[in-house]
Parts: sequence; structure tokens; C-alpha cells
Amino acid sequence: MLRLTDVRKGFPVRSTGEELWAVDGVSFEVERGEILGIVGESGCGKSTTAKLIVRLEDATSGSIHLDGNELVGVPDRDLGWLRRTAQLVFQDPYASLNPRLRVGAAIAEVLRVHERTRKGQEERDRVNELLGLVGLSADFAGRYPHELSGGQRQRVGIARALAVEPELLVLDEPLSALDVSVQAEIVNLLKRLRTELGLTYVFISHDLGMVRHLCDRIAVMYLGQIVEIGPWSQVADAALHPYTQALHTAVPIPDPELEAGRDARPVPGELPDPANPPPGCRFHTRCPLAEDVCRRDDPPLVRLGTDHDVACHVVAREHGVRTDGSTDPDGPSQPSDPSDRAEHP
Amino acid sequence: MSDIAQASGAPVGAVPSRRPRLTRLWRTKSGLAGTIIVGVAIILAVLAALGLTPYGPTAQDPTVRFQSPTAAYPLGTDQFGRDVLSRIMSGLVSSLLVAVSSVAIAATIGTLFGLIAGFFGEWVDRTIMRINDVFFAFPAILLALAIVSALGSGWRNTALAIGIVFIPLFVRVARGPVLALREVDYIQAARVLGFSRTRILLRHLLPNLGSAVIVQVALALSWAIITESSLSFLGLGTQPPMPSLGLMVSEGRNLVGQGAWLLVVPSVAIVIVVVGLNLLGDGLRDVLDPKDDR
Amino acid sequence: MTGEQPTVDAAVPAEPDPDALLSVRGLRITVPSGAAAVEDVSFDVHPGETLGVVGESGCGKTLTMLSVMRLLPPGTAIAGGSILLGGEDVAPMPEKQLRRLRGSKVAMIYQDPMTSLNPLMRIGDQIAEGLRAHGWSRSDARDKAIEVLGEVGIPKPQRAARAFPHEFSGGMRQRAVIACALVLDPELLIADEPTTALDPTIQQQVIDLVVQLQRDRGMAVVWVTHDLGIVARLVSRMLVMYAGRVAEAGPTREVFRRPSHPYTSGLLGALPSPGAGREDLIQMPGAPPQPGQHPAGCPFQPRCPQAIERCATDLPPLLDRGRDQGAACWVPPEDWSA
Ligand SMILES: Nc1ncnc2c1ncn2[C@@H]1O[C@H](COP(=O)(O)OP(=O)(O)OP(=O)(O)O)[C@@H](O)[C@H]1O
Ligand SMILES: Nc1ncnc2c1ncn2[C@@H]1O[C@H](COP(=O)(O)OP(=O)(O)OP(=O)(O)O)[C@@H](O)[C@H]1O
Ligand code: SF4
Ligand code: SF4
Ligand SMILES: [Mg+2]
Ligand SMILES: [Mg+2]
Repeated sequence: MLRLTDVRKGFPVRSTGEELWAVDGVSFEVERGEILGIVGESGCGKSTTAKLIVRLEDATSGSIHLDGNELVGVPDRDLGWLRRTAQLVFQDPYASLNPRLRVGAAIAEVLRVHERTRKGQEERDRVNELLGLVGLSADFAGRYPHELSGGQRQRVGIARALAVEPELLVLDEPLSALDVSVQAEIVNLLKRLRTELGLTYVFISHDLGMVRHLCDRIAVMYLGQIVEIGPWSQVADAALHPYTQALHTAVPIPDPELEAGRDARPVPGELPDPANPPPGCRFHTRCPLAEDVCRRDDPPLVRLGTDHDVACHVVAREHGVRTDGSTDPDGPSQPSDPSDRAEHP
Repeated sequence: MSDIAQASGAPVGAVPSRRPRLTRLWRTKSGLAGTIIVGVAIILAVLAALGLTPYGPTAQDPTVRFQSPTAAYPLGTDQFGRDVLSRIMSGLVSSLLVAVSSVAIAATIGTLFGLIAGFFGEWVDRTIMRINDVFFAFPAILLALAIVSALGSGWRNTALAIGIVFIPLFVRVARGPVLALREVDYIQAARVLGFSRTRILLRHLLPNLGSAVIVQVALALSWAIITESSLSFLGLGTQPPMPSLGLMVSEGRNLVGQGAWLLVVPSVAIVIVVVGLNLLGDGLRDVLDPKDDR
Repeated sequence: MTGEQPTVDAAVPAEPDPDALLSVRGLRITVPSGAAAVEDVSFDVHPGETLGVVGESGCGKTLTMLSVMRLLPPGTAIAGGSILLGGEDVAPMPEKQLRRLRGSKVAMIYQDPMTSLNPLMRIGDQIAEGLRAHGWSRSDARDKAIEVLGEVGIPKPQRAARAFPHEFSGGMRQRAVIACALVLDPELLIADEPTTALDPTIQQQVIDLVVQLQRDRGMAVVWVTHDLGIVARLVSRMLVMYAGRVAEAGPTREVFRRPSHPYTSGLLGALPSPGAGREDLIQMPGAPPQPGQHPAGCPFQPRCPQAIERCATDLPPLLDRGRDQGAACWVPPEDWSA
């Protein structure tokens, strides 16, 4: 349904005049009805990817196909269909609603612009139906955003996005401004909406636990690139890339017994400046496995299992795959059995 | 769908409404003082406009020339025996008329251009702001003088001239918040939802400029009154016999020897109105501060 | 169904603990409206111990900790209770005496590493400032500042001391903030969500640093957070706050294994469990009450799945649940419905 091919997006850096590649050669596909999770630390290009998909920003190069239609380079006025197909849910539920519009009016406005209903009773019914869909009672239509809690606002944001009857929802950190109990509400809501409405999600988060809980496939980004992508059970429970593994150990598990048994040594070093990424593998400045080749060559994403791709010289070699794409004749054969991979640290 | 009832929990935060704003304005010292002064000025002007002055503003009475303030003539009389209070009241009418019309022109056009510049950015912004800067570089009075000389005097042309001169003020006032708001999530959300630019501009951006523009209107009114008085003083604004505060100062200057009040009263009247409008502007700024605009 | 609890022991003794480094009893803090944002909060921190304080946004964690420093924001005030720090009550203490305690006895680090540093002052000078205020000479203070910068893991401390905060990344700034807090060797460090603004790998570095420093110096730490993972990773005892009160207190392992307050149990259920299946998360309906709008009886009652009749009228005190655990709840976990 959604396919990104070698997408790049650069922003000019004012002080140096150079280009900052916020998204640097990203490719992935999302099937209809699937939830793809994107995780990564701040500045790795998650939000920029989201904005490219809904065309708040236009990619510098590469191509983005949604339902077979190209998005890159298409002028704004020809994107009416996109607005009806893909919607974005924002991180900050306090900033994504116009403070001067009542909830009902904000949703009705979308219905009107897209001529989804006739004015009057039909419109009011649809507004109430949408509110019900996200678990809010009809009397919320008369409230202003400041009269709502964070979780309620996030529900309104989702209801408004659903008003255009989209097929794809891009959710940019929809949970990070919310308390844990509210996060649970919203995640359950998202799960239910997917089954009820047959939606497809791109779910962006820095919370590995939530991504593992919700997503079918997970992509891990580091400095504008995808370093690992695969089925949730693989990426969350049997990660191969050193950065994904570092991210796993970095996130504390809410269980004292499990925590006591973990080696929680942090990876050293700072996140490099995205305007000036390290040459070769971008993670080599912090990677415990780094070798000479890492400092020289940028590792491509190579397939190491069913639908499981990793961009790392060392891990690929251990799986008998050369990072130039060919299979190493001397190494062990490419594993296909999941248990085989799970053993790997 | 058991979570319907669950999510309809208590609302969070207090409910601000329109009325408490005004009450808050009167709770600030400057807001209260400003409201009273401007209110009195408006009442006097309205009375004058309805013909309810103590004497006819142009009615001459040779028996009472150069009377200093008395019970019958609280602000004295002038060289033709006309009542100064009545003339001040009518002067207020023309001053306020010119000020309000000119500021209305400036605020409408200026806000519109500021909105467009801020929203579209790029070359549109650069062009508008370049022109704006050129206008800004001239002192307001000089520019107004030049325009009035070109158009001819009279209150309509004066209002037009002052209006044009004040446009850049409003362009700046409107453009700043638009630049900031453009990146705010709910404006971005409106774009993703497929709203047209006109809709975003008029329905989502314009209402948020309200407070900034209102404050600027109060301040611009006070400058407009000064400018109008200055132009009238120079004989280029309102024309006699229509009374005008600036004109009265100009006449009073030549008659200081016969009656100091003829200079003092209109000058003080101008200062009071201008100070009142400034106080009101300050008060409004405190109350409408977008910080607590949630 | 339980009716009356037969005999109840309060989980925290009424008298302050003489062995504790920090012993808070019956703390009440009011906000400008006069309502209490923190009420009847009691807890102890022993030398060298780590106490985790958790709870949702607005439940009074920050106000409680600021009152220990006696740095409450204007309008809010301590309206009752005692705060014994090393045996001295700081609640009525005059400002001059407080200044002596701050930094040397107890220090605090905040959530936002940018606003807790002065942007116009060199890092080294900011660290040295605390020492100078306690009578150190200029050159001694400078040397000590550089030493501490090295200790918190900042590379090239000589050069870093001359840098301004904006030249540092978020993680480095938080290290500098920690250096400022540690320079006077406090016995107690209060950390109010110091890693919330940081990325996971950087957060982990900062946590690791605090654990190491604590081990080396034998310092006690109070770690405020709403991340139950952090609590599981680094604290031995924890305090769960709800609506300005202590809902549950106890050893971390016990509280996680056997939560004895429905709120704690709700918080834990709301988290996706690692390594397990992906069944729906358990939702907690509603939102915490604002100060001044607390219901009569138990503040958690409107949201509580276990509530009994009594909960609507009687406020439960912190009751002993055994194994050093206490919960402010009338219904013991054995009697909970599933
Ligand atoms: N409009 C812009 N102009 C210049 N640089 C930008 C712009 N938007 C993003 N960037 C830069 O691009 C990089 C990626 O930003 P992005 O917002 O996509 O990161 P992110 O992964 O969403 O991070 P976070 O977790 O902080 O939201 C960052 O270094 C950011 O500074
Ligand atoms: N200066 C203040 N004036 C008025 N009310 C305040 C003030 N500071 C805090 N409060 C109120 O007191 C309550 C407790 O606030 P506090 O900051 O201690 O919460 P918290 O538990 O630290 O929350 P968070 O997790 O969001 O930091 C909140 O309801 C808050 O609205
Ligand atoms: S390519 Fe090298 S540096 Fe990069 S992640 Fe793999 S081992 Fe580490
Ligand atoms: S006292 Fe009652 S309402 Fe409060 S937590 Fe316990 S069971 Fe729930
Ligand atoms: Mg982002
Ligand atoms: Mg806090």
C-alpha cells in the first residue's frame, strides 16, 4: 500500500550552508492492514519521515508510492486524494487542536471540507458517531480543547483524522505526552480501530515496549537511516543490529526481577550531530563491534532472515552474507529457521 | 466499547470565557484609567455629534470675548466669544473621526498583508516586507504631509493619508504571530486535513491575531490623534470653521497674550486623550497576553 | 467482601525515625487557592538508600521534593507536618540556616537540564559558585569543579569547565547539572525526573552514572519518575503517590510482585509486559482529581475497580500489609475481585 524507495530529505543548515540529511536513503513497504512501528532516538528522522508520507514536506529525492500513486514532486493542489487517504496524528495533543474551536465544530469542519455529509442533522450524527468511535460521549462536541484531558484531546485528534475516512494513519509519537494509564487507553483504542475500520498504521515512537506491543513490523532508525527492519518478534525479542540491542538494554524493563538479571551497561558516547554524521557505518563511534571496514564503508541493508533486514557488516558476515550482497561461499549458510536467529546475542 | 463512559471523565482545567477578560482589564490600573479617560472622551464626542453641546461650537457672541473660565463658560471663551468647552467637544468629534477611520484603514489592509506575508513566506514575504521597510524608513508625519499635499486637505484625505502611513505597523504586528503559528501543530494538521489556504488563513490564523491587533489599534489611535492634530496645526488637516483640536492649538498659539487657556485647554485635551489611549493599550496588552490564551 | 478491618497498624510510625537521613511526617502543602496539593505524606530515607517516587502527572511529587529543599514556588506553602533532615526540622528553619544545608546536606537535580543551568555562565564557574558560597577559595573551587566534571564522565574536564551550557548536548548538560549538585558531597540527592528529556541510550548513561556515584560516595538518592522501568532498575524502596497522598510504599520487588493498592496494580497493568504476549492493556478509567476537587473518602474511589461502600465516605490511612509494605486502601489484595 505504501512504498518508500531510497527517500532522502535535506534541510539547509543556516550556519554552515551545508545540507542536513534528516532522512537519508530510507526504503520500506507497508502492507494494507499492517502496523509498521518506527523507533529511534531524537533527531534520527522519524518525524520527518512522517511528514514526507503525508506531504507536509516534500522529499528531496527518491519516491513514495501510496496506493500506486507517486507523492514526491507532485504539486500541492493535486494532492486532494492524499488528504482523503492518509492522515497524521500529532505528538502533542495540546498543540494539535485549534484552541478556539469546539470539538464538534473542529470535526464538522473536516466533514464539510471533504463533503462527507450534508449539513445539519446528518453532520451532527456523523460527529457523534466519530466521537463514539474514539470512545467519547456526544456531549464532548460542545467542549473546547482546554476543557479536555490529554488523553481526551488525543482521542479528538484521532476522531478528526478519521473524519476523512482515511486508509492510512501516520501516528507521530501519539503517546509520549501522556501518562501511562492514558497511554494504555489510546493503545487499546488504536488496536480496536484497526480491526473495526481495517486501517493501516505507521506508528512512530521511542518506546520500544509499546512498539513491541502494537506493531506487526518494526523499523529501527539511526541518524536518518534504517538500521534494522523486520517482524516485531524478531526486532523486539531477537534483535541483530548492535544499535537495536543497545536500545533494548537502555530501556529499563518494569520488572525488578528481570532487571536484576540484566547486563545494563550503557553504550558509550553521544548521539553524533545529524548535520555531520560519521563516515562509514554511522553507529561506529559507539558500536562495541566496530571494525575497520565499519569506519570506511556504509553497510547496506541486507536480508538475514524471512523479511528481516539488517545494516551491519559484522552481523551480516556472521550470518554468511556479504555486505556487497553476495552470499559468502565459505561461511555458514543463510539461516531461515527463526530459532537459529534467536540464539544470536 | 466499554471505554465510552470511562473516557468521559471530569474536564481538566478551568473554563475561561469572554467576560472575565473585561473585568480583568478594569482590575489593572492602566486599563481602568484608560477605559475611564477614553470613555469620557467618547461620551463628550457623541454628545457633540448629537448637537448636545452647551453652546453652538461655532456660535459667536461678541459680548463675551476672551472670557477666562467661569461658571457659565467652564473653559472660557475665544476671540469671537465662542464657548471653548463646546469647541473642544466638537473638536473631539473630528479628531476621533479621523483617528478611527484612519486606523480602520490601516488595520484592515495592514493585517491582511501581514497575514499573507507570514503565511506564504518566501518571495511574497520578502516583497511585502521590503516595501514595508521602505515605508517605515520615513517619519510618519513627513509621509502623511506628503500624501495630504498630494490629495488636498479635508478630513477624508487626512484620514486616508494617516491610514496609509500606519499600514506598515499592522503588517509587522500581524506577520510575527503568523510566522510562529504557521509551524504550530494545529495549523499543520489543517494542511494535512486538506483545508484550503484561504480557510486556514481566515478561520484558523486570523482569529488568533485578534489580541495583538487590538492592542496595536489602541496605540495607533493615539498616534493618529497626534498626527491629525499636527496636520491641522500646520493647516493641512481639518479646515475651519469645523473645530479640531490641532487647529485650536494653532489658533491659541497666537492668542496666548489675551488668554492662556486658549492654548492650554486644547493642548491638555490632546495629551489626556493620547495618554488615555496609551493606558488602555497597555492594559489590553496585559490582559490579552497570548501566554494565557489557552 | 470485607466489612470492617479488624486491627490496623499504620505502615509508617507516627514518630520520625531517628536513624533516617530524611524523615517526613504528615506533610501538607497548599497551593494558592488554599487547597492541599500534598496531604499527610510520610516517608523515610535511610543513609545510602535509594527511594523511588512514582505517580501520574500532578500527583504532588515535585512539590513534596521542593519542600524538602524549602524551595516551593511562590503561593505554595508548607501548611503542616515535619521534615527532619539529619534530625533537624527544615520546615520552620530560617533561610540562612537553610542555605548552609542546601548543597552540603541535600542537593536536587531537575527534569530540564537547560533551565537548571545559567546560559550566560561558564560551566566551571557555575559549579565553583556553590563551593564559593560555602567559603572555598577561588582556586580551590576551580580545581574541585574540574575534578567533579571528570568524575561525572565529561571528557577533557579542563576545557569543559570553560564552556557555556549551549555548547553541551542534553546528556552532557545533565552531567554538568549533576556535577553542580555533587560538588559539596551531599548526603542526599533528590533527582526529579532527571532523565525524562533524554534519549534512551543517554538516559541509561546518566542512570549508570548516578548508581556509580552513589556506590562510591554512600549517598542516598530519591528518584522521582513516572517510568516504572527506572524504578525497577535502580531503587530498593518505592513510594507510589496518588492525588497528593501516599497510596502505597514498600520494597520495590514486593510492590511489583504483589501490589497492594488498586492504583499501583492499575499502573502496572497499563504497561505492556516484555517478553510476553500482546493482549490488551488494562485500562484505568478516569483521571486523577485536581487539588481542591478530591472526593470524600478515598481519593481513588471514582476510578477504583475494588471500591466498597466504605470507600466513598472514609479516607483510608496507610495500612500495614506485611513484608514492610503499606497501602492506603481498605481492601487487602486477597479480597480483590479479578
Ligand atoms: N524544518 C527543518 N529545518 C531544519 N532542520 C530540520 C527541520 N526539521 C527537522 N530537522 C532536523 O532533521 C533531523 C531529524 O528531525 P526529526 O524531527 O525528523 O527527528 P525525530 O526522529 O522526529 O526526533 P524526535 O524524537 O526529537 O522527534 C533533526 O536533526 C532536526 O534538527
Ligand atoms: N505554583 C503552583 N501553583 C498552583 N498549583 C500548583 C503549583 N505547583 C503545583 N501545583 C499543583 O499541585 C499539584 C502537584 O503538582 P506537582 O508539580 O508536585 O506534580 P508532579 O507529581 O510533580 O507532576 P509531574 O509528573 O507532572 O511533574 C498539581 O495539581 C499542580 O497543578
Ligand atoms: S557495521 Fe560495524 S559499526 Fe556498524 S553496527 Fe555493524 S559492527 Fe557496528
Ligand atoms: S480504599 Fe477503596 S476506593 Fe480506595 S483504593 Fe482501596 S478499594 Fe479502592
Ligand atoms: Mg519527532
Ligand atoms: Mg513534577
